[in-house]
Amino acid sequence: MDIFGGLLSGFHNVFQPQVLFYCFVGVFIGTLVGVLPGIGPVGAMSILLPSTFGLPPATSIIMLAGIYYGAQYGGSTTSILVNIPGEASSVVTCIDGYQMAKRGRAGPALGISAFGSFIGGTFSIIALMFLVYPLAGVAVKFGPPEFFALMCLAMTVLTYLTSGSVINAVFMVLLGLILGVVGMDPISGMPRFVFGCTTLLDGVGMVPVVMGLFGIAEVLTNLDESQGKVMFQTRVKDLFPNLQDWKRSIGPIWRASVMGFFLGILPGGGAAMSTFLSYTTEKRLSKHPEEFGHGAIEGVAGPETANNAAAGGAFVPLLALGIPPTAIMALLLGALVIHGVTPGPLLLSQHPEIFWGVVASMYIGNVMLLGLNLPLIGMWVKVLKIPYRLLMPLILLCCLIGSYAENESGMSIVIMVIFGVVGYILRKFHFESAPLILAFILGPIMETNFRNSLIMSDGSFAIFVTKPISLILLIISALLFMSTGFSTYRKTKTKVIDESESEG
Amino acid sequence: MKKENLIVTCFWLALGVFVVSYSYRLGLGQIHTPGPGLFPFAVGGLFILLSLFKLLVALVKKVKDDEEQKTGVSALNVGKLCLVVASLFAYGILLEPLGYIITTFFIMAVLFFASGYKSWSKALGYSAIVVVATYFMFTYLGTRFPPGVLRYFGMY
Repeated sequence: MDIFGGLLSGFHNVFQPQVLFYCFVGVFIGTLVGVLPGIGPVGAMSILLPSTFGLPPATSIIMLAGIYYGAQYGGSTTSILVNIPGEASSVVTCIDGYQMAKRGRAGPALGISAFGSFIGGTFSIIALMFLVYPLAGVAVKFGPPEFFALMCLAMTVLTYLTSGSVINAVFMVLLGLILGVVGMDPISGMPRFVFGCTTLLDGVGMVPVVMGLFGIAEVLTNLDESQGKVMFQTRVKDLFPNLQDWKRSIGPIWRASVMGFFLGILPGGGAAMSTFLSYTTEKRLSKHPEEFGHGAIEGVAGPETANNAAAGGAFVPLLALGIPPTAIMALLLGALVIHGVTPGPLLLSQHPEIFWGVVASMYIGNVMLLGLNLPLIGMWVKVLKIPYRLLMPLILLCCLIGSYAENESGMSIVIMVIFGVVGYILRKFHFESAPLILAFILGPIMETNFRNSLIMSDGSFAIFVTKPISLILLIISALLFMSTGFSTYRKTKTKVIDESESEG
Repeated sequence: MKKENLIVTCFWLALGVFVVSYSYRLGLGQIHTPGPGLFPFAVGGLFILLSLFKLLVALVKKVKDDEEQKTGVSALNVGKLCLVVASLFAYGILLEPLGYIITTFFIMAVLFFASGYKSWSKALGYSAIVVVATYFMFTYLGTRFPPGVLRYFGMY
């Protein structure tokens, strides 16, 4: 199937009333959790995952994906109006977005971030469409050694992209790998790290782990932090940026679209990283760098575009290779597997309706989001005013129901709470949960491919370096590991954060 | 190196030692047929190496700690945290024997109280509303809740 034929069939699927409805539900919930503090897209998706089991696979993925990119839109609202980033990828928006709001320009800030998000999102869908095909074509030729090398590369990139200390990130990756081992050994069937607990034989469930580390831990952290948030009192008017605003924003939007998309492909914090990169680039290119930090519209347009473009880019490795680059993509992978669909190079030929359905739904979803976010901004502002003491119990209940519903067992609630406590403690000691989750998901794939390679080669490690693709991938990861190239990025990032803290 | 970081590193070291010894007993297999313990053994080994490295660095030169962020939690919040965590655990254990409606009603009341509603009547009222609303919503979505003790009264 060629690209245009595929896209046409995708649109054909999406325009069915039921699919349109679930797409709308997805982007609506996405915006809602993006706006609400204390629950992110990961939590929302894992809560709703069980309720999508009854839907056809394409529809369920369309809805879950809608939550993901919808949250990127919603996150900008809180950053601009309340100076609270919904998640890491909207931290940068706070710097200039909040300053704009303070100067009575909340409207144009919200407007440009919605339009920028729309353009970035659309760009990344188009790029995704053209990139997944050739990539999947190459990946069909991948055997166990190539996949093992690819996993090594993914883990290396992952540790470099975390915002905290690299050693801490490596610890988290290792912890995730060990967690992934728990359960029955996929090759010999031997129970490992089970300690006589039958629930653990199937491995530690992904949904309880993700919900514990992201949902419960988040609530627990919020519990002991001050809850007094000052809502910025302003009337939001003039949502449409004026000509001057557009002139200043159009360059940043295009640059951020490209940057965001390609960084989004990388495993780990691609979205967050692209926003930092876009901000620093625009500051350097700008004729008025002194305006940055005091309400420069470029500082909103660029990062907001970048995180949406990155959201699209993250789909590339999932759809083409079956490798989730972020915790959210890992959840989507889990959803696909539950529906009996194996993501990977063969997804395109075996289930074209899923791929094209998701792509087409993203076009529609982006249009819906534009409609949801601009005219209805007043409603989201009201949502922001819901007190946290009312939200907190409800968020916890949703986590409880979500983890129970996954396999109707009280044990998964207990596991989730354990991981919630673990996640809380890790946060207190400045360890990030994202590398842990990814290693936990990728670990079993990595191990199976590692052992299968050794079986294939009759015990010779040479198999990893005699295959050209695997050799190249391993060399890249080795170089990455040794290079200090990323240190410049790390420094700039800290600088951006420091500046925002001293000025904000 | 701060004392708490030292404790954390020692914890990782201990975990590494445990993983290595456990996976050694699982059987490393031969190089032609790698056993179930080989992969965790390697990961555990890396754990040990990394924590030893971190300890060594800390001992050789006095590392200045940039991360002077507060990790402390105030006493009031410790109580609140424990209450929330304990009630969540209790929910996981009691949900199946007691059923959705009863357990959820009680945990919501506790959570509303912990999150700052001072009057019990308000907390109980809100939790009653939440239980009824979520019950119908999630049953509609296809979730099957455990009936628990209510089944004896023929209420299901």
